[in-house]
Amino acid sequence: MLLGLSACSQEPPPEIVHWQQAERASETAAFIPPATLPAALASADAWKPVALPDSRPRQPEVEYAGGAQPAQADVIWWRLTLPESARAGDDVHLYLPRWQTVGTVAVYADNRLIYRTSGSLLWNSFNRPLWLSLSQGEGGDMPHTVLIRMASERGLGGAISSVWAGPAEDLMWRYRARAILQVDLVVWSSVTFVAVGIFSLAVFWARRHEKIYLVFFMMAILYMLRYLHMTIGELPPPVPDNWFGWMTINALGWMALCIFLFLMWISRREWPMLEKSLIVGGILVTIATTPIVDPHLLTPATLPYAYGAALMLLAVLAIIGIRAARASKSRTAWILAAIYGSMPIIGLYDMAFLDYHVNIESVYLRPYPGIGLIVICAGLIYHRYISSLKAVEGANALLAKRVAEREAELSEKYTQLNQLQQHHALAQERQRIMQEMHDGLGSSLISALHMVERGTPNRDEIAQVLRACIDDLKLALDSLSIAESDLLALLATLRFRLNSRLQAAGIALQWNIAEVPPLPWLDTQSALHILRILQEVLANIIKHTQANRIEFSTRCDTRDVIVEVRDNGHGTFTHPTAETPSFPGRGLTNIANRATAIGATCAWETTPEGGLFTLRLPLERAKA
Amino acid sequence: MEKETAMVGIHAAYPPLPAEPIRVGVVEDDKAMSKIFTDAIAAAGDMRLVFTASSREEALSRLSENTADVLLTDLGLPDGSGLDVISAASARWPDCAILVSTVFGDESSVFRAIEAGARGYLLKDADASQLAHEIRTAHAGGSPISPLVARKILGRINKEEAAAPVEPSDIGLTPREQEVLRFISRGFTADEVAQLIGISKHTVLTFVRHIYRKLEVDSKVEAVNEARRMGLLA
Repeated sequence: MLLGLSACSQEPPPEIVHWQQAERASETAAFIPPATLPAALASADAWKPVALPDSRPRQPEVEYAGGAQPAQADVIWWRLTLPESARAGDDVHLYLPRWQTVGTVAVYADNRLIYRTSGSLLWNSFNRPLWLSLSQGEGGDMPHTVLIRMASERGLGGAISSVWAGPAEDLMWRYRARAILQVDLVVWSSVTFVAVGIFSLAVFWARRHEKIYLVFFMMAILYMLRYLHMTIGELPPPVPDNWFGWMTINALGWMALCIFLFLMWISRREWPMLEKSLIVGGILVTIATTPIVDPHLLTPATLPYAYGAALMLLAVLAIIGIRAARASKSRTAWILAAIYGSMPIIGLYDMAFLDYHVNIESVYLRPYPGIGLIVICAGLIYHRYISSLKAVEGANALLAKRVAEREAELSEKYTQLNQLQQHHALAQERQRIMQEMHDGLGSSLISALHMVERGTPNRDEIAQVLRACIDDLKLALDSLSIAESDLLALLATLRFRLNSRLQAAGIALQWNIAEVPPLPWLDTQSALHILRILQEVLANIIKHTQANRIEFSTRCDTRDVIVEVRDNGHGTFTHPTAETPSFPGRGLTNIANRATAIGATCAWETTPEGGLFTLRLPLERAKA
Repeated sequence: MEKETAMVGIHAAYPPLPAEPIRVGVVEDDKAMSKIFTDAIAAAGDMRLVFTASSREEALSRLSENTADVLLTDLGLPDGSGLDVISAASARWPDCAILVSTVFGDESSVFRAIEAGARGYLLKDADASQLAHEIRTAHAGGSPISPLVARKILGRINKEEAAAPVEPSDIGLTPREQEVLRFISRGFTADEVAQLIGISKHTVLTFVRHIYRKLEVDSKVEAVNEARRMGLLA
């Protein structure tokens, strides 16, 4: 082992060989490569020097045999001599950048078959560079010659590029770069496009009227199908060759149509008739070209004509599209139109390539405009997403602004209303005080004045009048303090203020006050009305009934809070509408008026025990 | 025969007074009213007038010369507020029963007087015998309270229980004291309250005094806090 290593290190590193010259031999033979070199090639006369890349053109005059694998093929051998300098080491690799034919390729090391393609004749791995180890394995020798055998369908031609051999580490980057450029990039683009397409399909599913998302999805799928043939590996396609060909050609046509629809949409053009007839026509062509209708319609021989037809359609649509884009003045439309316009040109180039008119070491360009398509689709989706976010933000901001404006308006209105209410309340209050002064205090004071002026000797009478005045004042003042819908506080203050008079009259007061719900409508004015009503009631009981016991009680039912005043006097205290109102003066009328003013009702009854006054105060006062 | 009190509010029916006459000071700017007070005191027999004053200035200077058991003071004095007199008297003679004399007994002026240190109030329309009765009751430790004053104190507690406007200050009323206040605010008399919650009338009266005392202390704490907020105190 050690010895081997040291031996290796002593040898000069193997050189890279780049064959641009080879020897070529031709024959007609089977597609299947022989195990060893045929004897006919042993003769030195069979070989002629050629330059690489080397190609054999199509021969249109040779009729395509058609059908399954034909027995005889045009076979070309290229013989490459591996110089001594390149035979050192054991990791010498062969790198064939490109080959192309409808047929098979095999590689021999000296006399031994080391590689053969195993795909279909037509949809083979023509687009994949070839990478082979020339080493014979541990202990084996490097070959002296490398032979490449290409068996082609008759008359369809074939080509190989120049060939490289050398240590893997020096050569591999060339292989890798070409593999990425020709195959992997197309695979990655397809996957990306399909991902964008599936997203678009989901959007379309949710928003059926936005057909453009369906177009995106279709383009993604068509792109993948269309360029499947460029990424095929060693294995044949999973469907028969004619179906595969039908798919790839039709995908090209539909892609041309989808891009056209996309370009129309982006240019804001609407030619529904044209679009519809294109779609209908496309469907008809697709159906007409299925291998069910004619299994031999698409053969390696007719393929170039099919491509030509698809390219013609592409070119016509591209011209219409470019005109539409020019009219639209949309930058995206311009870019899309440029991509679209490039497609027939690239198509022509690729057709020349296919027909061996272009250096075979070049690459097929047709997948690359698709990358531009992906970028545009994703860019449009991105743009729509961002702009809808902005729109939502804008709408929110607008909404917030409107709400703020409304709030300001409302608050201003509220302030105005409040001021109005305050003015109203002030006016009411003023009126109330005026009335109190006039009806109560004023008239009482005047009667006291008259008594004094008349020289009435009864001081008690005057004192009584004045005391009544003071009581009136106190109650009026108290009513101002209670503005919190608290009826019981009102009753309490009434008792507090009038108790001395009741006691002076020899009346015992029984206080059966129970908690009652608050009365939301009870303001200072209503409070004073209630105080005055009950004051009047008490005054009347004292004056007219000879009662010596009064009971105050409260209760409530579903509609009213009820205040009851019972006395044990004899029933001279009756309703004022009775025929003989035993109750002199304005007292009872006042009570009734005040009750009406606050939306309350009152009633007088005579019971066996005495009088009963009931004041019903509504829990909720109806709006005036 | 003594007439019943003019108040439904609470009064102590304390036992007969000792031989020492009650020393009474009167601060009143209305000459007629002042005479009614002094006459009533003179007529009572068991009390003695120690001074009268008709202005804030005069009242404050009198405070330093004399000692009174009961002080009657008006709130509206020509040269200032009677509240100052109440505060000064309360500070000088903690045992003095200060009664604010008021025409209406409206709860806002009574409340302020109590916060300043008054023990109660006296209605100016009371007759001579009622006046004497009030003075005696106050001297014996009774404190009159009206339903509206009770309600106002309760309202203050409730306000503190809810979101306090500036700085919550707990007056520190016991649940029993609150219950008493609640009944009084509903118009029940001391006797009725005592019966309703099953305590003696004397206890009810003590509660009221304690409540007043707590109000006074609280208002002073408030004043100090206020001063501190305004930077008057370090």
